[in-house]
Amino acid sequence: MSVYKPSEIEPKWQKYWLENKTFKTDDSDREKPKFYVLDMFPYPSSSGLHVGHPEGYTATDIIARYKRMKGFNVLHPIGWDAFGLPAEQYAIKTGTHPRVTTEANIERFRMQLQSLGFSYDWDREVNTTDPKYYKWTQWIFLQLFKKGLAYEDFAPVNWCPDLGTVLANEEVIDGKSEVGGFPVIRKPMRQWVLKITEYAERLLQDLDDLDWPESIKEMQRNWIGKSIGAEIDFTVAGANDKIRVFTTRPDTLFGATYMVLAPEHPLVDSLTTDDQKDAVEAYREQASRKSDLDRGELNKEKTGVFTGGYAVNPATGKDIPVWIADYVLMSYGTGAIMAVPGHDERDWEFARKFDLPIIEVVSGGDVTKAAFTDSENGTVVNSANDEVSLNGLAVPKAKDKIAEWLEQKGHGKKSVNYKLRDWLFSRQRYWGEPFPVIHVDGNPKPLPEDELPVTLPEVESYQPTGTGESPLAAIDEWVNTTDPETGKPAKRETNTMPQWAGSCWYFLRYIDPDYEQGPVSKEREKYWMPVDLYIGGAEHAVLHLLYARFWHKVLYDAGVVSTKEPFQRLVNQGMILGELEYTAYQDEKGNYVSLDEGGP
Amino acid sequence: MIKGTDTVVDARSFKMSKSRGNVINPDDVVKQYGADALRLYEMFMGPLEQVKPCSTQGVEGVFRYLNRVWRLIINEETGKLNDEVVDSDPDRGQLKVLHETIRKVTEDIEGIKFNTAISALMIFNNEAQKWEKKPREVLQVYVRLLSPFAPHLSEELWKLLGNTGTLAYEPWPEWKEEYLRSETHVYAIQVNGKVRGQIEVPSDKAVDKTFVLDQARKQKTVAKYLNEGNVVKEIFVPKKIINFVVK
Repeated sequence: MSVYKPSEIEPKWQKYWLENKTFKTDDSDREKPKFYVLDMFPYPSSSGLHVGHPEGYTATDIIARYKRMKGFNVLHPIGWDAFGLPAEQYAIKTGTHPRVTTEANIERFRMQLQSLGFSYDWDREVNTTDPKYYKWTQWIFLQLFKKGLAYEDFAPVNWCPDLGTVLANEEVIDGKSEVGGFPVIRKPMRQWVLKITEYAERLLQDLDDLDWPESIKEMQRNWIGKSIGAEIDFTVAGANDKIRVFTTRPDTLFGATYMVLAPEHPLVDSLTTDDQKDAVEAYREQASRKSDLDRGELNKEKTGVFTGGYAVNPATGKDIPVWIADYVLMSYGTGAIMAVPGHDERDWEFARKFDLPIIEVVSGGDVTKAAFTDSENGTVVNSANDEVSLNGLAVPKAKDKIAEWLEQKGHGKKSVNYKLRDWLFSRQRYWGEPFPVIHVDGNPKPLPEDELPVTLPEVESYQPTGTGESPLAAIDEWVNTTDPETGKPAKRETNTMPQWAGSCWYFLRYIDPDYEQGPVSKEREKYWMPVDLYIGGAEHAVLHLLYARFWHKVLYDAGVVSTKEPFQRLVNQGMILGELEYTAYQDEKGNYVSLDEGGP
Repeated sequence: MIKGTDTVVDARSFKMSKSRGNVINPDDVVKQYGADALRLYEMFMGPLEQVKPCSTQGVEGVFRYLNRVWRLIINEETGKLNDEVVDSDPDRGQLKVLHETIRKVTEDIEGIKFNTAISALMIFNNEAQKWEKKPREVLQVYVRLLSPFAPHLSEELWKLLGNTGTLAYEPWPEWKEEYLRSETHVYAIQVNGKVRGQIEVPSDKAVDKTFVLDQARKQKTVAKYLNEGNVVKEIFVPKKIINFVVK
């Protein structure tokens, strides 16, 4: 009998394809039209392929095979996003080097992918943990550094003394670690930061040209969070200090009846009066235990403390009280706000709780009952002084008029703000790309390009150091080095890059995996980019997809790539769930009871 | 509802997790049904962007389809091509089915609508099974259409159909409009015995009295005469005569 036997047919053809390199991409004929179809490359986990992987991978494979038959030069590559925590955690548990674990996992993944008949060009396989690959990841970091887009900062991190590690915002719930419930404190640590905010406007504008799902574009727009408003300076009563605020509603300036500063604001100390010192200190201590997420939108309960100090509202000339509250973050805007309880919900709740004045400056609602926040339909009222009047104007016109007056008087100016913050780029881990940076006389210095790659040293223990530094910090022979330029003693940077680094540019390396003069050659890049179709999950909307666009624009400015955007078209596959589960209940007699009648 | 009762039951699908015991391992599916079946199933489950539950019954269904494709072309006793596979030209009806399939599959791949492309491939198979003669040329086109979805089976069938080497770079089939057109029938429309107009109707509707007369009445040149009085009789002889008697 000759029935359909996939167990015979499939391995046979997989072998044929591999031996004959059927799907090897030959890009020597640049006259031929090209099609670059890309999968989001996997983290090679020890559990192997999951049914969700083949969904996206089958879709791109269908397109790749179709396009080949339509006469296109097709680039359909795969690789491994292999740095990351799981391999390191396994190393801590078992003492097995992450490189060994990773290699074994990759072997298994590769076999699984080949068993599904995906038409990849296996000669272009990349592995982010291969020094030949991360040499160029480090090189790109040097380009960022050269352009002033990488800097060191003391940024608060979530430090968990009991676990001996730094945790991401998402790993902290109510001031305690998600794992184990240990106390977490905000501790400033030296971090590398990338200036993604420098590219905020371009990242926003260039979304318009992309063939991406609107929902993903919206998520990026919201994450970038552009708002147009004004910066206004409020002079501290009886002093020369100025408190600068950013507001999207400068039209309501006459209704600012108090101010709120972040507890970490530099002027808090000088504003705080003696009788308020204890309360302010206690509040600041409490705030240091919360993560930004807990303090921000998630937090419904408004808390705050009066500093005892006052500032002058430049429009009304009146003294208004200055409070501190943790819902104001140092990382957004200026770390200080003017509170207009009549026209902002959070300010209104705060004012009601702490008995602060609520006045109406935009008519259309009833500010005794709730804040009137409509900025399209309101008319300004109660907003005049000797020099300027906004009364009777619609909100947009009022915004312009007050901004003009503020500029004239030197009290402020029109300004654009973004929710997007600079990208915290350090991790205190072993299994990640080392930074190509040394510290000489306490200052960071980039290494020259011929020193790349800076490879990870062999370690005896992967255990966290207990000080929050990466395990690399414990390896003296590796840390202590000399500056190749001056011969002075130097210390290597011991932080490592986040897993995002490798995935920011991998699609370029597939184009030219053996190129030794750079991440990719100009001719090949010009032929193959941009990616024509990228298929992957929507969970990467504001992480990988935003980070990759940022690095790509930096490389565009540096002349390494020829297009402003890496991925022209994006498609997200939907999640595959488990089998349908039917829920029914049986009573003592064995009769099925409908859910409506109330099962257990 | 539970069969035989009125009991309404809740059915839900959850994200796969070990604790739920609902993780489906691709290796197991490949071992049992083959990679082509898993690939086909994951595309057939529903539109790519949607969330969907998976089911072993679904994989079995697709596996049975692939078996039918095999049997369409191969004689299971001998392992050689079926006797019905011939080298003669396809007839008009066969060309129509084939070219409709080429068009649908091509448009659906371009539109990333793989679930409906696969439906079209299944529909073709059902039609082709009924043919007494199966032209080799038609089958070769079909196998090329199937190849991005189920590449292993397609390569094997391509070889058994008498070709050498891989089909990965064979030209993608193109459809021709002329093979897509339905055949039609033209009626002369009479009013009181005099020809006042004509209509062209699709062949498969030519004997549908209601449809044909409705179209005939709408004809401008005919309607003019119908409005001159009352229609007292409508004579319809299928594929031959339409005559309205007006007084």
